[in-house]
Amino acid sequence: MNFSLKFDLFTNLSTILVSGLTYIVIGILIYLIYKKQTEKPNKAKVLLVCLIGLFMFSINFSYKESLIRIPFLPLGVWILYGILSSNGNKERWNRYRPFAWFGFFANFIFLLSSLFSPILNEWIYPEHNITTYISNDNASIVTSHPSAKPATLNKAKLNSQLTSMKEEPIYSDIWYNESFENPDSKIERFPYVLTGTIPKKGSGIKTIIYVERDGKGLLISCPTKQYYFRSKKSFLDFNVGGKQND
Amino acid sequence: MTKKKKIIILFIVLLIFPVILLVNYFIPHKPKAFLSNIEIKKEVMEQYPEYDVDKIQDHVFIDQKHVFVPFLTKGNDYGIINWSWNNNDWEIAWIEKNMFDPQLWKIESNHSFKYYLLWNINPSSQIQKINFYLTRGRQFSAVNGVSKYEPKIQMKFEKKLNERSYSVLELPKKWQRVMNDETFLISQNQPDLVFSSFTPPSSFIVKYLPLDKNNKTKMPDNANGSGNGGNQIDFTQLVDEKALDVEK
Repeated sequence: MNFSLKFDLFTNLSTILVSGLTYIVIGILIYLIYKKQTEKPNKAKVLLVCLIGLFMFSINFSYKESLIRIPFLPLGVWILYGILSSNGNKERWNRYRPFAWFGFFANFIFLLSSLFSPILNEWIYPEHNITTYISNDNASIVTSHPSAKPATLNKAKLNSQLTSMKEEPIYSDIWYNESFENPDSKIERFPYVLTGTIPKKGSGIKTIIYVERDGKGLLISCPTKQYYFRSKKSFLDFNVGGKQND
Repeated sequence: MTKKKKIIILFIVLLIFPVILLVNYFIPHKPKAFLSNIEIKKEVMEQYPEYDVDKIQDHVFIDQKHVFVPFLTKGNDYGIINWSWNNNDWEIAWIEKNMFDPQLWKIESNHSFKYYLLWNINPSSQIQKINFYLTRGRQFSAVNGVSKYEPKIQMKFEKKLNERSYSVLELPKKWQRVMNDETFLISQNQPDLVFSSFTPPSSFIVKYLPLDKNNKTKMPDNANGSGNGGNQIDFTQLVDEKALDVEK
């Protein structure tokens, strides 16, 4: 048996915060509605009714990698009406009606939170800020292509420039073709890998970071996207004829 | 009444028994002492009778739960058995004979993976040295305005063979760091799957180049090996020298 809690407990802090807040708000609202009722219905049944009330037809579309579900028709409310008011039991339906409709209404709260979650995420972990991907100062480089000059990472130079690095566009096709221009010595534009970096705590981001051969660029590879940052000065020390250390 | 009670007690006992078995199956057990040579032969005979193990050359413990057993068959083929502790028993994770390609054993260790190269090559092949390469092709894409560029990866290390036909070699730490970064990257969208047997395939390939004593490429004479087992083992591929970028 494997317990890989170490990895999965905080996959993403903002998602946990928003969904936690959402459930608290929904809980409070149910309690308020319950308190307002003059005739108290069964508590367990209230929760069940709210749950069924959630059923809906919705219009779904994805926006920026998250699924947006816009509530459309209150399917759960219809089901509950059918069950609770059977045999002409209108009084029972009236007792549970607010909770059934609240269940449907809760879908809008979920919609709101699904819209809010990326905003919060962007606020805590800005997508175009390099410190989201590199939060520690204990990185090192691995030479990953034979066209690389022997070099070591100058941590001080990298850390001092980290916040001032500018994001630039990725010219993937040009870079690809460039490497074949001189067929005798095939040159890789990014011949080092930066390892040992830790992304900002709670972001749950996984990366591979490549270092440009002039020591001024970082190509940060995330599962769905890449980000390219450039610094003013090189943060690699090129040791002429020197040895490479492990 | 008493009859009814008896039935209830019998029912409870019948229910408890499989529960105990199930719990026992999932509780981590410390590995038992590793098998003797006789037990190894017996296990192979039962499960894979086509591998006629004759002489067992060694037991190499990679860690507490993984043992590498090189052997010779009656037909003088060189073979390998990978044993792993499956929480209750030692089991054969992989068995092969007369395979030329060194194999790559991926072992979970402390929330990441370690990679070991294993081989057992007939000394008559005259191989003196093997060059290993970690490779990945260069790629680019531009879809819906999202541009991606994957740099080419080509790392190398050399290993001189000694008199023994078999060897275990941990991949360089640098390689493992890059490979682990990639494993976690490609499984980010399914974090639960990282340590299951269902990890998405890596885009890295470990390749090898066998060399004789004159540093000339030495191809295997007869490549009619066979292997059996689960999915823990990957294989290295013979490198195509033309596809390698020249070293400076």
